[in-house]
Amino acid sequence: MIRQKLRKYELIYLVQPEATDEERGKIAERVEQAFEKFENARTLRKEDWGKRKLAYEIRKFNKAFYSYQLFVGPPGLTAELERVLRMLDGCIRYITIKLDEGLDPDSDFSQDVEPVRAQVRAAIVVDDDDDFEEDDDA
Amino acid sequence: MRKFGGYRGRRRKKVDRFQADKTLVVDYKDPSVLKYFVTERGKIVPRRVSGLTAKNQRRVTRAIKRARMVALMPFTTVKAH
Repeated sequence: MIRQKLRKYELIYLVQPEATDEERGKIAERVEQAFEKFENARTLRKEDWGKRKLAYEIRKFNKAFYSYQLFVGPPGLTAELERVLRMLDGCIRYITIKLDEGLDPDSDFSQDVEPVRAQVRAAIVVDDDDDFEEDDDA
Repeated sequence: MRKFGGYRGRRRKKVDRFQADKTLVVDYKDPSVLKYFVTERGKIVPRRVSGLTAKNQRRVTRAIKRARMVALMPFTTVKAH
């Protein structure tokens, strides 16, 4: 039997800024469940980028929680992930990007556990004090 | 006398930023690098202005478009009212 080759992907999804920790946990859980359905699917790294300012308004929100995940999985996994994320109301945007393909399921992916480069980090503005310049026309 | 902005004068040779600085990487997750390749309005700067090699220009373009999808960079900065 031919072993299925794996692909490496990264996923970013945005959760609406008013979500509670519990709601965000639920979304993360649903993402986890999608992984469990696939053999050899595994997360290499997970990052929480916190609440960031959006470059443009999405569903009337100016901020969102960013989550990043680097993983390997068989073809079909991203379709399932996107299906799951599309159904979740709290998720306002997601993107999956294929980084590599044709990977052997037995290979060692441990070098991928390092976090996103420092300069990327630096560009990430953690913004928790609420609304100092948005004009909420009330 | 040197003419200012005249096309007869010698033009400064453009350098590809990514070849000049090898530590600089094109990554859609890093808007701090990509911002050099868009105008104030958020439009992608053409190759004749950016001075990038064809290969790097393609990388940058793709990265900017990806960054826009997850709101890391704007499509445009003009706010509709």
